[in-house]
Amino acid sequence: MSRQLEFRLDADTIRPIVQYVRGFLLELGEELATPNGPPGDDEIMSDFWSRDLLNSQRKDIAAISELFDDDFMETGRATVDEEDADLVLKGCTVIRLKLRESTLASIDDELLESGELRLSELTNEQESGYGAYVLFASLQELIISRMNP
Amino acid sequence: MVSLIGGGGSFAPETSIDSTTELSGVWNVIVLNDPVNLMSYVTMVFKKVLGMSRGDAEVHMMEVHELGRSVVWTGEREKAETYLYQLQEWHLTAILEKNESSA
Repeated sequence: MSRQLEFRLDADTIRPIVQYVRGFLLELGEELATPNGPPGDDEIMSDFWSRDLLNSQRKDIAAISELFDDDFMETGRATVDEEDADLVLKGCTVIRLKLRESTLASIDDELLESGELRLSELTNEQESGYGAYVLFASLQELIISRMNP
Repeated sequence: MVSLIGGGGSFAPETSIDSTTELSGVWNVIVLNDPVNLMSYVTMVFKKVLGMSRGDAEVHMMEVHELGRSVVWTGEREKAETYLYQLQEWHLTAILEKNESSA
């Protein structure tokens, strides 16, 4: 029997963060989140390699879209099925990588890692981005601890 | 190395083909540090993709974190490419390098 992980967040608090992330999910269907590539300089292999990685990334993003759907926006409640857990974990990483290189690009690694940011010094966009960055890290930690101990 | 020498007299070109291509030999799969991925996530990926024990996965994860890179697998090219692709699919920054010490 497949396991499920259910979580519930305060919908009013989380809604603007998820709305913010939804804004660039489409973009992540068109470009890789990491500077990864094939091991050689063969053009044909390079095309296949990158296309396959992008297709894989699209599935990760789709899993996140499904998890944080309109129902979640209403209730703040979502469920991760065991068979989708890997996709959700990867999707969280894609979003965090994207946030790191865009909205949060001007913030030091150490500050981000320690979480010792002064929210008052962030722009509204950075605040939403940081909220999402922390949210998706927490979700990863939760899934890993419960489903991949 | 195979040497093909044509038998057509002085007009036949002499050609040699190096049978040891650039892709032969032993290759290292290397994971590079990134400022985003969680330690627990990297450890889990090493366990899932490379079949490492938790202890080994944590050692390599710490190596990535502290030294900036870790050789997580060494072997023949085809399998190295498979692992490389899988690690990249998990959004770790990974590369292949020829293991020169084995040449």
